[in-house]
Amino acid sequence: MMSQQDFVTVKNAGKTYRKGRTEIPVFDALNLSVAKGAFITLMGPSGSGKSTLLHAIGGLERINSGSVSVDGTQIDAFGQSKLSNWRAKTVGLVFQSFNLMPSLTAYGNIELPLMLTTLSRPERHRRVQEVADLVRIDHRLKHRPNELSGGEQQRVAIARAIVADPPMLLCDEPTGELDRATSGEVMNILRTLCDELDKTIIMVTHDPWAAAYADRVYHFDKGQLSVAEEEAA
Amino acid sequence: MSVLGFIGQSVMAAWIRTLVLLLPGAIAYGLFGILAAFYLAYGATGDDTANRMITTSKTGFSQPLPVSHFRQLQQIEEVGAASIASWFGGYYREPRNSLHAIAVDPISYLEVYGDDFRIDPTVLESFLSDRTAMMVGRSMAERFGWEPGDQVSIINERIARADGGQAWSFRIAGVFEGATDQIDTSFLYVHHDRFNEARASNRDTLGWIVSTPAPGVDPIDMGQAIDAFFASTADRTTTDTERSFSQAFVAQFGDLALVTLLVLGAALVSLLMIVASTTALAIKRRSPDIGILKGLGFSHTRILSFVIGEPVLLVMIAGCAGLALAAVMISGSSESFASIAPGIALTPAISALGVLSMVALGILASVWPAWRSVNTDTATVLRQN
Repeated sequence: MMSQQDFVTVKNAGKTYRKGRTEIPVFDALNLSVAKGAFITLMGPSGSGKSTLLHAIGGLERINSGSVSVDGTQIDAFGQSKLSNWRAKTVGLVFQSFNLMPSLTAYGNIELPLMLTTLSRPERHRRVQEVADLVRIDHRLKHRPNELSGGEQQRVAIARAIVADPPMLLCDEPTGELDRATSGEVMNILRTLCDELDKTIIMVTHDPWAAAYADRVYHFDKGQLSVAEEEAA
Repeated sequence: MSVLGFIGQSVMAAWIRTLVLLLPGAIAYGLFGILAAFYLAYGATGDDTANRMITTSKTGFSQPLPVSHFRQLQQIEEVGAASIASWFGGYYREPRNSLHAIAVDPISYLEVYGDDFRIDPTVLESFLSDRTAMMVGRSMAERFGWEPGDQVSIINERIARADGGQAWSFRIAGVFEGATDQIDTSFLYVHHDRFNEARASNRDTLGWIVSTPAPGVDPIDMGQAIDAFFASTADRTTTDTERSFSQAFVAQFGDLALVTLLVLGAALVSLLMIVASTTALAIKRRSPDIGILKGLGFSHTRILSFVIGEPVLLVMIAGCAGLALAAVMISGSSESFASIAPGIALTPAISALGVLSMVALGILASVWPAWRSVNTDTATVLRQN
């Protein structure tokens, strides 16, 4: 049963991939609860299923069994259209490779999610400026992604993820392509978003140093999820 | 940022691809405009609504009929008015200035065609009173800068004079106008009597007879009556509508026109295929962008509107530029086409058809790759980026 504070609840989730006639199990009977405003990290070896779980929580991938609920809404039953609509309002995505649109400026990339809202143009402009200030990328808004450093691109990606004010951020290796100093800046931003804006953040990473910014670290291994030993202790 | 702004930024960011799409697109639609205008105007002289029927030799259009046929035809009960004409042709000064010149029996001819033209009575009087005069259509007069009273020499290498000469001299009696803007005036009339008497061969023959039915008679029935009347003579006839006759007439140049149409048509199809394949490739390369939009929560419908809207917009920009170019080219060379495609013009119907085909091309070229991209698994695309 979901507690009052749980924002994300994954119950008995099972996922298999099909490769030809072969079924490859990723995880089975998996359970996870994340409180609202919490910052958790999923760690584990490549192919362990942590990104798949992250995508399932974000409605990017469907599980084969069990259920995924976010803020009390069971999303795995949604159709494609409803899922898109839900994702636009609820989820901000941050990826390792930034996933910015190369044809748009930083401003255009940040503004993208606002195209799905009914906000007026001045209001959109205000929101873009606000989040750009927050992640300190306001001086680079007229530049295209290929004119920005990795750290700047990731800040644009974070700004895009929060501009529509979703309650949850899903981050897949957000520091994977950044040096330590830049990674620190990005992690500080994510920590601030959690602490000051009450965002629920679920992050996948291989980097224990980055994982340390989270409130709780989960380890994924052979389809099973466990709380990191040092934390459990 | 609006949908158009989004598409615009995408288009400008890939300007080389945009150029690759715009250039052949503009050329293709330029060709389309010229071809369509040519096709519509080709052999378009003749008006089916005027009830006029044309009688020629059953052997073929170029085979003359005896003048006696005209007198006999006038006796057929179903026939109302009738007149005769022969192709005169020739050129002015240089072979490239070929002329659409017809030898007619003026009085009877104007009885049949009078409603099509506006002729000043003084011009008509001047023409009727002088067998060496010719009456020139406005378009042709402007083409050569002819004025009433000018003496013009027409060279005709196919119809020699009885004295062996090829030059036929005429005084311009005046200029006539079309009753409406749609009526072609890029031709001239000379007297059939004078032409008949002066030519070296085929005397007392005519090229064709034009007739209108008696009141209450269907023109087709009249045509059948005419052909039945001459069926047992040595010079059997075939009678058809004016439009069919005109098309058969310009078919003299048909081989050249057909080859031109085929070559330009092949070029057009090739260019359209370039546009289609460039569009399809561009969409395939935008799969990562489509994955990002899906990840952000854009619906399939909305993404399809971006992805399909972009090529449609590009094809329309290229196509409209091409049609504009075609309009300029057609306008500048309409007189050169006057003899085989009179009144050639980029009509509103052609433009509308062009715009519709642009939308169709943009959609057809993009809908399948767009649909495939939109339905690719989002997580897979985002992982691959």
